[in-house]
Amino acid sequence: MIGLINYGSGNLSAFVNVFTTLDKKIVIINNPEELKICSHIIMPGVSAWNTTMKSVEKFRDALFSCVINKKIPFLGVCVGMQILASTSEEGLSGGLNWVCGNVKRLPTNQIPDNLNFVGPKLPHMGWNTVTPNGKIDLMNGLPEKPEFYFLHSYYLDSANHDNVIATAEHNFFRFPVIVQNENIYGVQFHPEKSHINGKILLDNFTNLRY
Amino acid sequence: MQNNCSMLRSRYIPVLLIEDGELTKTKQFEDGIYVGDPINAIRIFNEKQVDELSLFDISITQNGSKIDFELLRDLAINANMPLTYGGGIKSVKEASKIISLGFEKVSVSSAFLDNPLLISDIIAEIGAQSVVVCLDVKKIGNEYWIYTHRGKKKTNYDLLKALELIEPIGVGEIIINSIDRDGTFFGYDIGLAQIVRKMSSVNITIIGGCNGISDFLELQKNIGICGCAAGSFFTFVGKNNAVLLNYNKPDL
Repeated sequence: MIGLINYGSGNLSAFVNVFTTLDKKIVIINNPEELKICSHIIMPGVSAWNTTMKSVEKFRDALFSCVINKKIPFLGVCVGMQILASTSEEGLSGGLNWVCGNVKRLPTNQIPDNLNFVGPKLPHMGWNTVTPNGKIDLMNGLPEKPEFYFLHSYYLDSANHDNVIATAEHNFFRFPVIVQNENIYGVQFHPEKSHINGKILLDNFTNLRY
Repeated sequence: MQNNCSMLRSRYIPVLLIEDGELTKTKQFEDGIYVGDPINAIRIFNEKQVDELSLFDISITQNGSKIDFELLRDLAINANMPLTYGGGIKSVKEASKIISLGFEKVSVSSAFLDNPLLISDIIAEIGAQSVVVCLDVKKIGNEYWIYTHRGKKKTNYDLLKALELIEPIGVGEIIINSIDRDGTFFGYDIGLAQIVRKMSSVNITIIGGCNGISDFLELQKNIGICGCAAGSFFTFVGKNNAVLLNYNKPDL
């Protein structure tokens, strides 16, 4: 059973839609104790850091028990990936600290001066290609550099290079867009809104076993 | 030459207008004609794998009616693409609820001009990346003015004053909707697009008048605007404007 954590923000319906077409069983998790029945856990996210951390608080202990102790595969999406970090420049509260690193605003000072670039720099909004570092389970069956939909201004600056399993580039700056620490995964883009590529990636996640 | 297009590829965005639960298409914001069922339209655009989809409920602000959250829920459940909603949003709570239903972005228009601080409050709650300001623009003489209430109410803001107001707030996107070009197939108002690109550092999406793929390319290559939206162009085909939802866009 795939658990979708309903913490008030984040678009569950798009995930429900994808998993229904994949013929996978899902359960919406409204209370921490319901996490026990999950084989896989997904934390969606469309929100600001503080709003997210405030609503995640009540799930913190149950998540620790399932994800850290029992090694149930976990996928954080967008801000749901960012909260895996220790801290964020977007807010004051501490993150889950499951992937060592800090959430920072995407830099815009890497753009060469001679380009005379005066257009928009942030948010990173739209379709961008994702480059995996080697062969990764989550990207099985996808094109070599698939496109996904991004909508964010902050990124997880992973302290440990081994946790970064895929990257993308914006404003001449390359940054982590998929991180992994054992059974814990985070994706910065929105697989639930990335058509067929997103569907394949979510299917791959639900086939992971630990 | 200035390179003011983003490093990301352009986005082609069908825009659907909702009135009393049905899809409508206007010409210069008037004479809405029925063009179908919104859920059916979402399913068709799913198959076409569109970059994004924007939905505007044009009946709410004008009629003073309530946002149809039930409809929005049904639309989001059926959508595989990023969604923007605009129409009648007047509070942080409403904006937040729409995001929780499965929309990526909310678009605010008249409520922003009435109370610019509202946008900062919405940003604090859902993040700047998800907040869009939509400006309905009409050309009077040589000046562009902002209208609300379905193009019926002239505001005290001219285009430059509105852009100046938006710039420091840090919204994720501005949608510029040309009332004069809406539904006319006369091509985008390039002069308008040029002014907006020059005066704003925000992501810009232009809508109103698209008549062909060359119009998209002109926006991108000559102006540096990456958000190419269209209503009628993605709704009608042929000389007689038969209703046929389509996704004609430049090859990637």
